[in-house]
Amino acid sequence: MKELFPAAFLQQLEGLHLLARQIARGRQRAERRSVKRGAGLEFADHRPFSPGDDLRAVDWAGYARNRHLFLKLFEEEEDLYVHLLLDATTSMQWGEPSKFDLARQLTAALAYLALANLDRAGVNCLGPLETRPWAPGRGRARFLPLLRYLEAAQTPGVATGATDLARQVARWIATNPRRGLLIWLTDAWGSSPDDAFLALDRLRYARHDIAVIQIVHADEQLAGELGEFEYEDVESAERKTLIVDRAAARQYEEAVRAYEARLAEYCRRHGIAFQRVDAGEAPVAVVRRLLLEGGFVR
Amino acid sequence: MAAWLGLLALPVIGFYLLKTRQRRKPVPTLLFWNVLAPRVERTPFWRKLRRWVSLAIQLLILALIIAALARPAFDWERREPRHLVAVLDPSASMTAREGRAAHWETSREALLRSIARLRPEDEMTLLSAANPPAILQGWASSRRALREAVEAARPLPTGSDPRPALELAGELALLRERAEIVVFSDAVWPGAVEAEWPKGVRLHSSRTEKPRNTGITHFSVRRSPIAPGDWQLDVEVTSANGFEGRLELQRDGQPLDLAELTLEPQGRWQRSWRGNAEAGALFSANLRMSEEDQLISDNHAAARLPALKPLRVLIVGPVDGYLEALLDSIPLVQRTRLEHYPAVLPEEVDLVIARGDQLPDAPPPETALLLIAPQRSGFWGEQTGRLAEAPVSEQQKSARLLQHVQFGPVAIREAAQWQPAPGSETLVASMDHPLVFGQWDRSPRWLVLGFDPSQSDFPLRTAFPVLMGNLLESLRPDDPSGEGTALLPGNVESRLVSLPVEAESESQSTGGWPVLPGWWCLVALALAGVTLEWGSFNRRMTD
Repeated sequence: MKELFPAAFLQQLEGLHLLARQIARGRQRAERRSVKRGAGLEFADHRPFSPGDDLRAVDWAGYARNRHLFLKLFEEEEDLYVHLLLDATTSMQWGEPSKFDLARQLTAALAYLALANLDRAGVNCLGPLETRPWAPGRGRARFLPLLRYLEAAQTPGVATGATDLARQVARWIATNPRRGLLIWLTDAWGSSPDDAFLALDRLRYARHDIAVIQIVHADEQLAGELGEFEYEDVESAERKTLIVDRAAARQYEEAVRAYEARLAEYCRRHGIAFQRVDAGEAPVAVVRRLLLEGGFVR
Repeated sequence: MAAWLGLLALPVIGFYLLKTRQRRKPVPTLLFWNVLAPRVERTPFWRKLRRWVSLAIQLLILALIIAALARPAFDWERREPRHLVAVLDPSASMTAREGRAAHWETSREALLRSIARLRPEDEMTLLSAANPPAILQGWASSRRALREAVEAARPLPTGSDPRPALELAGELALLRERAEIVVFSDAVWPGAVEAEWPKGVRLHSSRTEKPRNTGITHFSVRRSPIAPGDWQLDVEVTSANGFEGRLELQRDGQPLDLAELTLEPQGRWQRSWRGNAEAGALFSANLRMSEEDQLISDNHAAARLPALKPLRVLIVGPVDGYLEALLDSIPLVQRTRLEHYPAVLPEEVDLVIARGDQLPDAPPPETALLLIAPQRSGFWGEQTGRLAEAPVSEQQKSARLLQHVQFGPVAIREAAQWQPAPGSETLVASMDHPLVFGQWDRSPRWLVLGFDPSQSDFPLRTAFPVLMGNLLESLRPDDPSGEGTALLPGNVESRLVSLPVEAESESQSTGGWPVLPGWWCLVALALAGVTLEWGSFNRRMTD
């Protein structure tokens, strides 16, 4: 059986970290900072004094110069939470190599980058199986346990009924996670054409910074062999007998392209970082592309 | 046997069910197939039924093959004549080309196909509609013998009349029960054939389109019946589709005339040439054209004008200056004279003129005889007395010898009174007394001039030379026309005009369609089914 996280993959992760630091430095942003003003060390701004304010924060030197009371505001440094949502539905098991394998490898790589950046990274498998979430934590020491967690993660492998992405996301939101960067690794095949969009709506309402990595397989883009077949949904076990001729195949491919275009347009419109990757791509190459094309490093 | 073969349907059905079993195809999501579902559900009804139609076609193919192996006899095969009299038209018009092949080849191939369709119990006889008709092959069942007879047949260089062949075919048909007569021809015949077409005779016509031909439809030369040596050449050119070209006329190989012709479709051009010649001549004509012509053989024609033969006249008796001068003035007359009637006439004498008492006892069998004022009775009649002043009171106007001869003014001072021999005809008489009589219309031919011309003014009148001219011309051959050597003499054959439409359509309804063996039709249907099924299979696979 092919190893999910070979040694070469792990060695390349450090290189990715350096790339990520370089990119972040170029943007004159060291670590991620929260927008909260508070008890940090770095001055942020002034504001007029109001009764009840802490007198220790008054800028007395300024009062000496212009006889007005102002309060000094400092940025409060805070850990960034990176939530990695891993789609663990049966449809992710499709293809060879499967979409789920790439999704786990990308999750490991992104988690490594977050942990190396002293951010808090957590992983949640969204699927019909009740998989224990990997709670957000900080420090590279958490990385090896995370790899074991990801290796153990799995999809149902058999049909368990249609998986509602929006409901899965809603369940995760109900756990009241800290706001932060949310990266959703999914194929975005929901129970209905609007399912994935409803899930993204809910994530947006939770005020997370969202990034979507859609993992697709080349076979899914094409109708495949023509003729009369009984198509079976590997997730819901629903069957549909169809006579697929050239026209129907052409319409299928147009429908797939339209759906993907709709997803990309949705993300663009709502400022969501979006990348579509093929299940056959090398994970390190994908992460490098994510870093270079932007949206995934802040 | 058929039932056992019918069991083959079971594996066909079995294989078909195996083949059409739906294959299951797992997909990561039905999301997009569900989008297409309404369209797929609107699939035409026939497409949904296509699998069953395909199975029905396969079973039909199997049934057809089984039926073909059983060699059934269909209605049209049972109607096929058991005994066939085939008449092949060999006339020159059959060499006319229509499309890629000549009518001759088309008809011959049709005949060979008929022979190929003969069953072992069938018989055929083969006639050539030449003149006279020829039996190419008597009643036979051997296809090989019939084929060899057909392949040995050749078209004629001239036209032909099929009527004698049809009569012969009718007689041959009587020798077999339910025999049928089929004529393989281009149906270009003399017009009379149309009216005399026997009932029940089928025509297998090789003609399918309008004729595109121009030809010499009449070419004849003849001599004048009244003017020895004069000849007339008549030429007629007919075009079925319009013509522009020229006609070259030659006499003994030397150019005689050249005529530029422009004819409308169905147009006809006629012209005559006249001349005088005692010698014979060969006239020929050639049509020169630049356009395509179906029948080449009618673009040339020839006719031979025979040389005039001099008439030899033997005069028996004393010298008659008037008579001899008259004979010398008529062209192509050679005269000799004897004092006494010979015991044996010289050979090649056309006319003997005996006068006075130099008379034969019996009419010469091959030679015409003119008796002028015979002085005794004989086989021509009995002399009963003398007539003085015998005015001409009766004259046969319709007699050929008396054409343009006026005996009325002739003054006859003295004549013999005659009682003509039985069977003889009186041409001129005076008060019921015959003056000129005889038998000239049948052999032996003799004529009596019952008075002495010297006792009348007859030699001084024009009636005398005209009578002698008529008498001498009557000794020439009856048909003054020349010997035609045209490939297609006559005026019908080369016009390429077929029988009227009614006859043609009848012929096509009976003989136009080939009679195909039933098993062959079944196999053809099965092949059509295979093609249909193959197309349906491909459509299922690629649609």
